[in-house]
Amino acid sequence: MAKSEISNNIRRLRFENGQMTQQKLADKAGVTRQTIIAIEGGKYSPSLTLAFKIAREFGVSVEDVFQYGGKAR
Amino acid sequence: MNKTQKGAWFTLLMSVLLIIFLGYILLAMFTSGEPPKTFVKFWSLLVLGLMVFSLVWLRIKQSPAEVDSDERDDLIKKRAVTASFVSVWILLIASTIATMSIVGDNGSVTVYLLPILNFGVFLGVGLVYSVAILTQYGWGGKDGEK
Repeated sequence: MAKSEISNNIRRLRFENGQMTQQKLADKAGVTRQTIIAIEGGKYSPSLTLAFKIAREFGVSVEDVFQYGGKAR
Repeated sequence: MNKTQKGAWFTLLMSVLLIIFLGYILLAMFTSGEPPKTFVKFWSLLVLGLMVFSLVWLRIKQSPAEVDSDERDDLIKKRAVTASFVSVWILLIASTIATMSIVGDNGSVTVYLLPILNFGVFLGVGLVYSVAILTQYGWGGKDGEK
C-alpha cells in the first residue's frame, strides 16, 4: 500500500504514555495490532472514528496525533 | 498474525492442497481410468487434519481483548473479493478454452468433467482471494513492529 499524506506522532505518544505497546493501544482503540503498525508506519490512513479513538486514548486532540501534509489548492 | 491473516493462510494452504489433489485425480483418471486409493486416503486425511488444526489455530488471539476484525481488515477483504470476482471470469474462460484446445473442435468431454472444472475454478478463486489478502498485509512478516 502507498504511503499516505497523513503523518502521525503515535510512536512518540506511545512512549510518552508509559511506553504503551502497540497491542495495548490496539486493544483500547478496538483494532488489531497490525492496523496500529500500518497507521504508525504511514501505510494506512484511519477513519475519523478511529483517529478520534486513538487521540482519546492519549488524552490529546486529533491534530496532536495526525497531521495532513498534502498541498493546499 | 490476526484472524484475517490466519484465515487467508489457511485458505491458501487448502486451495493449493486441493488443486494438487484434483490435478492428480484428473491425471490418474485420464491415464489409468481410476484414481489410486492410497493417495486419495492420504490426501483426505491431510486435508481433514488441517481443518481440525485450523479450528484451534484460528481461535488463538494475539491478546485476550483483540477484536476479530477492524476497518482495515474489512477494506483489505473488500479489495480481495474484487480481485477474486475478476478471477472467476478469467479462470472460467481459460478452463473452457483449455478444454476446447485439448479435445479439439469436434471433440467431446464426459459430463462429470464440468463439475470438476467448476470446482477447480472455485479453488483458483480461493487461491486468488488468499493471495490478495496476504499481499496487502505484506505476507505477515514481522509486521514492521519496532
